[in-house]
Amino acid sequence: MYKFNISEKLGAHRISVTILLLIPLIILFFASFLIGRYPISPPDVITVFISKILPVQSTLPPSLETVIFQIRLPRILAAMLVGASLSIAGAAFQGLFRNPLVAPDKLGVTAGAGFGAALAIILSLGAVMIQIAAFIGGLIAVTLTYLLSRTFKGTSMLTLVLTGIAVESFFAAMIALSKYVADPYLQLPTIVFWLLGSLASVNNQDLLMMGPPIIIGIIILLMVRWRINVLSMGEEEAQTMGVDTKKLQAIIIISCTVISASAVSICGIIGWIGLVIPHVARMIVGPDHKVLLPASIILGAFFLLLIDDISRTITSVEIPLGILTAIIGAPFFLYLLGKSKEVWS
Amino acid sequence: MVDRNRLLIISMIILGIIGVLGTYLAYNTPNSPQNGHITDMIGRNVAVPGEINRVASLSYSVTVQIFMLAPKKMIGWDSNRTEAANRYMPPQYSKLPVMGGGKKDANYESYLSQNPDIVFVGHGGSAEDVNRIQQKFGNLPLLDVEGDNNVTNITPSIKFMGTVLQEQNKSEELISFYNKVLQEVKPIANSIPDSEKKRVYYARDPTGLMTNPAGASHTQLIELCGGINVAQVPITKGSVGVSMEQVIKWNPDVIIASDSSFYNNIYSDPVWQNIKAVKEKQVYLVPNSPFNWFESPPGANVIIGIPWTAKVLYPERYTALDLKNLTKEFYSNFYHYNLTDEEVSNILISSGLKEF
Repeated sequence: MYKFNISEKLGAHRISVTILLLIPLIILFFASFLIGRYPISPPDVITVFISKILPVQSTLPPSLETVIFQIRLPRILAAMLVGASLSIAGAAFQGLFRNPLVAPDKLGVTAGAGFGAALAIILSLGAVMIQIAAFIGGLIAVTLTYLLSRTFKGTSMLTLVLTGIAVESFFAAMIALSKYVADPYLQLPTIVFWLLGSLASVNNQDLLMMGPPIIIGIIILLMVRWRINVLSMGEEEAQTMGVDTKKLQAIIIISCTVISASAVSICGIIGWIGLVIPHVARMIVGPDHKVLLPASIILGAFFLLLIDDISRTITSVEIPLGILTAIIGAPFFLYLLGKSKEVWS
Repeated sequence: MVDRNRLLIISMIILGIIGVLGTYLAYNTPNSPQNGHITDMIGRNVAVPGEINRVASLSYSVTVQIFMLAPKKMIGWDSNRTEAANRYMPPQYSKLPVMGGGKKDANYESYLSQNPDIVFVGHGGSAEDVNRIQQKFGNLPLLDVEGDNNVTNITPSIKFMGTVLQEQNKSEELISFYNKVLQEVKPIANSIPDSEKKRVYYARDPTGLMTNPAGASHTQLIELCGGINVAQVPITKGSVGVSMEQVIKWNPDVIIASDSSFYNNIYSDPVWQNIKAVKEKQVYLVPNSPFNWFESPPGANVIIGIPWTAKVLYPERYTALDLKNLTKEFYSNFYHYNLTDEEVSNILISSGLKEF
């Protein structure tokens, strides 16, 4: 009884930590509107915002409004959405597979999406089709992993991960093949840039198209988050506690796949976040998935928004996100690793 | 005893066969009728056969020159050709095999299987790199070409190719076409005061948010025709991604697009409407058949892109330039394709030009 009380108190404390984490995210969200390559002074940004809400006549040129609402707004929202998606998918997968080294791409979703995109680039299908092809490619790869692993004798999660690794490397090879046959002057740079990840071309339509599946997936994961705790104790234990593990596993895998395929189709392949942000969250709020998943969402959104702000402002040339996430993320993560107590025993 | 004799006889027969085979092979290596030596453009002395009838190249820019100067000697392409690019390519050439070029990752065996007399490699870098590739080809002579991707000074490479391919007349013809075009474009381009120079953004990619910065061989035509590449960035090579805000900040006068889906959408995309070039309908699409007119590859194929870019940037200054006839002349002499009036108008109109 005494013990229960403590964990109860601790739980409440952790939830308040999660709410505290929201504050820097909100500050960064508003600050992100103030920075960019196109020079707009902070008062002008506020004026544009006010004139959008209130019927105030502004004397500012219309290009300011375009920059803020058509360029910065979708980019900021997309960065938060993608960061949140990848890290919640990572946290859910790490719980599901009971393995801290699993990232959302382990079932083949990013490799499949990358191949879909590369194929669309080679066939010169245009920007929208590249996105759709990436999304479909991601879904196909994970479906393939899932179906193949079911035909094997062992049905454990390990078989699934191993099948995923095989499917992932198959699609990675297909990406390499498409790079090989692509026009080296016109298509190859596009493929390479896409694979490194960028939010430069995100617009409001992309958000309308990919936002709903991401948000629905995140809501579903949040709804089942306490059950992931049960799963992470082991499949048999979970079954004795009355959880339909097969169904739950399928729900988690489908949700994670849909949100990470949507995220990848918006911005290309961004590594690191799905693997590492869940660990950072775990260092802050502990391993309970009830708080870990919301904390991962907030931290992932914050981290990718910060990275994208740097990527779009630091030079006149865009720095691919896949490069920056690791350059900035790796030292930061190592620092945290040194500071924190052991969380994975 | 008998066994030992038998062994001796068998081994002598085997030795004899090897000897005969060896002599036969020695007389039949492709190097045996050594009729000459050529110093290639990086200074390597290479033995070449007297008669050169089958040639291939590891680099796209040199392949283009082979096609222009000696199409009948060309045995294949280094890379895949698209349906769209083949539109103005005579079918006997578009059907040639693709052998898989490249510098480090070429498919050497597929080249060897086509029995070329010589193989070219473009802008090879260093003699050491070229020798490394030569090792893969054994006795097959590999010749390095330099400056084949430099549109501001492409004459030496054309001259070299003409000599090796024994097509000096054709190469002289191409050089004089190049000089003629330069003479029509350059004096006017040089006379434009800096304040009146058009600022140009080269939009690559279906998103239009990749470009080749000033200094890259891909965008030489902009400066050559008196324009300014807006992408003055720390990187001066290859392709880079840029943000939409940066493009709005640059606010180019003219946009040259490489991707047709981008070109078809730009006038309806709300984000691009604030840019001067879009407001003033100054967006142009690079013609791409049988070869790209602007880059891809940067090489002899962009010679026809010089008058095109001039017309794109300064139609009012280049009224005397007869792009229609230049295009016809270039296509019939160097692309072996006689354009009809309708076809040439079609090429120029779909590139966005109004007067030509």
